[in-house]
This record gives sequence, C-alpha cells and structure tokens, in this order.
Amino acid sequence: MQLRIEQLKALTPARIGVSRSGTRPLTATWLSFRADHALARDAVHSEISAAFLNEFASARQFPQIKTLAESRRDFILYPPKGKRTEQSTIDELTKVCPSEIDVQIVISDGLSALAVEENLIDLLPMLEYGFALSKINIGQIVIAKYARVAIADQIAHGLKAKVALNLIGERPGLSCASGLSAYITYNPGPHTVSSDRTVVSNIHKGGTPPTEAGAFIVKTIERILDKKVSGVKLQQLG
Amino acid sequence: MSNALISVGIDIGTTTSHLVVTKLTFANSSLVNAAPNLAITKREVIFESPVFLTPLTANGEIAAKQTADLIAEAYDTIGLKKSDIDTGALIITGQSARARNAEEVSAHLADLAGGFVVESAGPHLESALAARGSQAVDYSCRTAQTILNIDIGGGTSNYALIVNGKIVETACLNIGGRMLQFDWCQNTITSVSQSAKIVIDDLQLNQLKAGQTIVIDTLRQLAGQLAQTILATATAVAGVNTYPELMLTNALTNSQLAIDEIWLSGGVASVIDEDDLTKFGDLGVLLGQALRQELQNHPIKFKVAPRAIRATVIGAGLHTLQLSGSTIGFASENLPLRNLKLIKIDASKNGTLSQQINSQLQQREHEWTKAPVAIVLTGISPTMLSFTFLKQLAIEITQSFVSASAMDPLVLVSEVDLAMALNLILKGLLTTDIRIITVDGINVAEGDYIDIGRPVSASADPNTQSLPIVVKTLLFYKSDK
Repeated sequence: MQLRIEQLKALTPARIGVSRSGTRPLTATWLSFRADHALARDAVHSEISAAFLNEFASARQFPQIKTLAESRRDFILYPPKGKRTEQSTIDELTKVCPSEIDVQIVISDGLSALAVEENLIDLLPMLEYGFALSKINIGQIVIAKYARVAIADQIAHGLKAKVALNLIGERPGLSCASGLSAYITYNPGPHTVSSDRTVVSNIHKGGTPPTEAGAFIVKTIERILDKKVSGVKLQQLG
Repeated sequence: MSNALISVGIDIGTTTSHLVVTKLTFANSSLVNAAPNLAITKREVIFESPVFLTPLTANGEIAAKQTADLIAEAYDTIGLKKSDIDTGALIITGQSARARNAEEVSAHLADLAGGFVVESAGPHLESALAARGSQAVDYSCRTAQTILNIDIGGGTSNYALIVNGKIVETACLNIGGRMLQFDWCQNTITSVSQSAKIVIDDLQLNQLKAGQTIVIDTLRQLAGQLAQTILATATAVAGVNTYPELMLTNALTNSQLAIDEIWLSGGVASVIDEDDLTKFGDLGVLLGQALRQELQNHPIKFKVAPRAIRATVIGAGLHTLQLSGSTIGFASENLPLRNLKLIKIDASKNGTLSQQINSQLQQREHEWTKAPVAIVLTGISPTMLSFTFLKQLAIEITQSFVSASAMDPLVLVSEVDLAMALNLILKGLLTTDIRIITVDGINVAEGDYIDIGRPVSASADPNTQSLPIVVKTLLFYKSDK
C-alpha cells in the first residue's frame, strides 16, 4: 500500500502521510514545516517591495496611499486600522483620479505582499484588456499599503465609482503564501457589509491562474453592473 | 435548473445488441468562493434493455431497419422520448464495425438517439469503454492495483491495461465466441470465420469445416487453444504459440508489467460458468469453459466483472462524456457542434503555430475554408499561463485563421485552465462577426473528432456554465496496423 499513499500525497499540498519517529515528526518533515511557516510569517510581515513599486506602480503613475495604520507592525496589531484611511487622503485622490467611473480598482497588500507581486503582473493586464473590450471604464488604479478589504469601498465611494474591486493578498497558509483574492462590491460605501461583496479567491499559479481569474472577474463585474447587485444578493439570483 | 444529464448507450455488436440509459449528475466541485468548476459527481444506470440478437441479413450485414425497430421498442417500454435524451453514444462494436453497412445502421439509429448521439467504433475505444463499464478502472483507482480487463465478445477480445485507475494501453485480438457457429439440432457446424481457420489450420483440425458433424472433443481442443492465445497475447506467457496475424491492433507493449488481477467482461465472460454447451448456436460456452480452466491454473488472480455482458455499453453510456471547465467562452446559439476534426498543435512552440496548423490540416486533408476544425492546444503547463504567453498564442492563431480565410466558429480546446482568458483576448483580435468557442478541462489524448453539446449549469450565472464534450476516435473502423 506504499504506492497508494504516494498517490494520495500527490493529490494535495497538505502534510499527509509524513510519518513519525516515536512521538515526534521526522527531522525532514519538521524542517519543511518550519520553512513553510517562516515563509507564511514573512509574507504577513513583508511590505510590497520598492522594486515592484518602482517598476509597476510608479512607471504607470498609480497613486499610492496609506491606511490609518502607521506601520506594518501597527497594521498587524490593530487590524481595524487597515479598513480606513484619512478623509484627507480621499480628498487628495479625487484630485488625481477620475470619478463617476464604472470600476475603481484598488491593489492592497493585505496579509501577503508576495501575493500582490506574484499575481498582478498577469492579472492586471488581463483585467485592463477585458474591461477595455467590454467598454467598462476603470479610471485610475490605486495602491493601498497596510490595507484590508474594506479600504476599497471607502476609496470607490469617495470617487463615486459604481463598483469597488479590491485585489488583496490572502492570509498565507502553510502550503501557499501567494494567494490573491478579488473582492467586488456594487454601490460601495459606509453602509457596505461583508455579505455585499462577491469574492473570487485562491488566485495563484497553483489555484485559478491569474489570467483566467482576470477574465472571470471581468465577466462577473459585467454581470454585477447589469444586475446592479453583488455579494449574497447576486448569489440569490441563482 | 437541472443538474443531471440523461445519457443513452447503444451497443450494436457482432452477436448481440442492447442499450442502457444512464443518469450523470453534476455539481460545482470548487472551493467556496473560488472560480466555479462543474464536475460529474455521480454516474448511475437507470435502465438496461434486454440483450437481443443483432438482426442480420442473409449476406451477413446488419439489418439496419430491424435493429432500429428493436431499439425503438425498448424506448417505448420505458416511456423514453427522444427529447429526454441529452447525450449518448451509439457504438458498433467488434466485427460488426466492419460490416459494410455500418454507416447505414448509424444513420437509422442516429435519428432515434436524440440530437447528440455519436457513432463511433474502433478497437481502442471499445477496449477502453469495456474497462470503464466493467468497473475495472474504478477498482484499480480505489485499490491502486494493476488490472488487465479483457472483454471477450462475439468477434473480438479487447484488452485494456489499467494502472492506478488509468488506462495505459489498449489492444484487440480477433478471437471471440462467434468464430464458429453451430446447428445443435442437426449436430453440424454451420460456419467458420476466417480468423478461426488460421488457428484450425495451425492445429490441423481439418474436420472443423462448415457442414461437418460436431465433435465436442475437437471443439474443446480448439477452444483451449483460443483461450490460451487470449491469455498469452496479453501476458506474454513464454512458450505459447500466439497468432500475430489475429491482432487487429498493435500488441500490448507493457505486458511485462506485474498484473495484479485479470478481469473478464463481455458475452463470453458472462457464460464462463455455463454448463449447457448448446445454449447458444456458437462456440461461446465452450470458449468460456476453456477460459475458466486456463485461469484456474493461471498464476494471476481473475474475476468476472459484474454485469459482464454489458460492460461496453455501460462504458458508452457513462463514460464517453466529459464536462468542460466552467470558465470558458462560447455563444449557445452556435451549439451543438458535431464531428469537428481535431487539429493538435504544440502551443509551447511560439512562432511555429501557423506552420503546425497548416501541416496538420494538410495531413488530415481538411479544407478549413469549407468546414471548421477544433484546435487542440497541447504542451502547456499551468505555470506557462502568463498574459504575454496567451496574447502571443492568440495572435498566432488569429493570423493563421484569418490568412486561411477559415470557416468559423474558431474552436480551441485545452486541458489547462485558460479558456475564458483566451476567449477574451481572441475577441479583441478578431472582428465581432467571427464566432469563437474556447473550452478547457478536456483531455483529448486519444481522439480524432469532437462533439460539443449545449451548455449545462448548476446556477443561473451565464459565466459559470460547462459544455458537455465527447471526444471520438475514427468514426468507422480502421486498423492501426
């Protein structure tokens, strides 16, 4: 039955069939667990790299904003701070970003800056291509540091966008530290609650590939704009 | 919205014919919140018709009209209407596939089988269907055993070698229960097939000729040799004389693999415990008995499949259909599409796609201006799916399509998850009047033609539908030797 266990192990990145020595895991198992755990911790504590910001954001003149959190540490210790930004920041954005658009895209580090760096290179061009083809106006993309899901609703509300789209790094696990999620809210604002948001999760090379996810997000937003609802209300349509 | 498909499998064999009606249930198999993916979650047989003798004309062809009438009768018995059927497969198996009028038969039956039934045959497909229908594939998947399924029918023995639930090889030998036919009342041999003559001549059993009196001992000698040949061909037993000229395909090349169990299906397997030699007017029971004797002394364990005689048709009803991924691209008014030729290209070789498409079109003698094809994108791994890669792919295919003044729809098939993205990119490159269909999640390792059915869905969201796909081998029998 050795063969069977190898087969089962091939089906999942989870730690199954790792054996043991007495009451303890094997050294190799323990080291690989420590390594993956360290990667996950690093992902949580990491900031979007300067290189990425320079190449990707500055070159394309994406405005970069900060939430109420002062630092990565502040953000991790006081999570509610990541949900909002100062009104002055919103006011600044209204000067440089077009308003009354269809979709406001916000790129957030969330709990994995790595996820942003790994996936956006393919996800964003696909989104831009798809939205242009569907004649959906996306205005100016904003990058938010120390940010959680709700930040996009505040920004999109400030810019009077019909839909908020937050591309945010997911909480890392022990098998994948670079998963990205897309949270989509129709008519976002202070009234928005979690059930108002449609989510496409598990975007990474081993999950839904960023290109395919991009196309799916475009089609989903097309439907959301048509039905004028998102989240649970959209699901209830069938 | 319905989440089941009704599929019918019709098997017109050398000796017997029958049909099964099956229900395929599907559901979203994705994680909550991840992009959806429909998968078949349950396959069940809801009706089995009686097995009837295939009506033949005086010169040995299948009596098309009579056969169609028998099938229609079976439909009536269970109140099945054509409109109830979503998909299915009509297969003309064994030697009957070589009957000159196979096309006429399928024309008669296609009408009975709803809008989406396939006519297919060929020894490799048959072997694979039998192995799935006999549940040998399931069993191998569950137990990680290596199983050899041998489906022994009237005309042929079909081999499928299964490793860890995957069919790794198939082959077909021209030995079956109908090689000799008898009139038990007159105690005479009424016919001897060409393939039987080869073995008879080798054993010098000269008295086995049409018109001669039956001598059971001689028949046992022949049956014993045939049974040995069936097993030796598959498992490469040293010292047993095999008959390469009886192979309808190439022989199994993996026969040195350690086989855990041999599974038997087909008509002959179903009479392996029968004592009454005269039950059927052919060699079937004698061959069954000879097989049992051989296998009892054989080092490899054997098993007769449940519902052995129906293995192929159950396989046809339950296993010919694949559901595509759920993030794909199509317009439902263009469907269904039938009998699209598959053009396989290695999509990882940037810059050569046009060339590959052209040489494939030439090889398959296809005029793209007159009929659409389905381009199969192979060689892509999930890590290659960058936007740049997909765009380059789309540009090359578009150029090829436009410069060929090809007939639309442009159909692209892939195993990896790219269809919705590729569809969007292609839409941006082609004029809006060109219809584009892109599907993924489909394995076309084996196959020459494809049918694409109307979309199915587990929700009202137009972005999460799947297409039922049937990949077919050659429409009519052709030896690969």
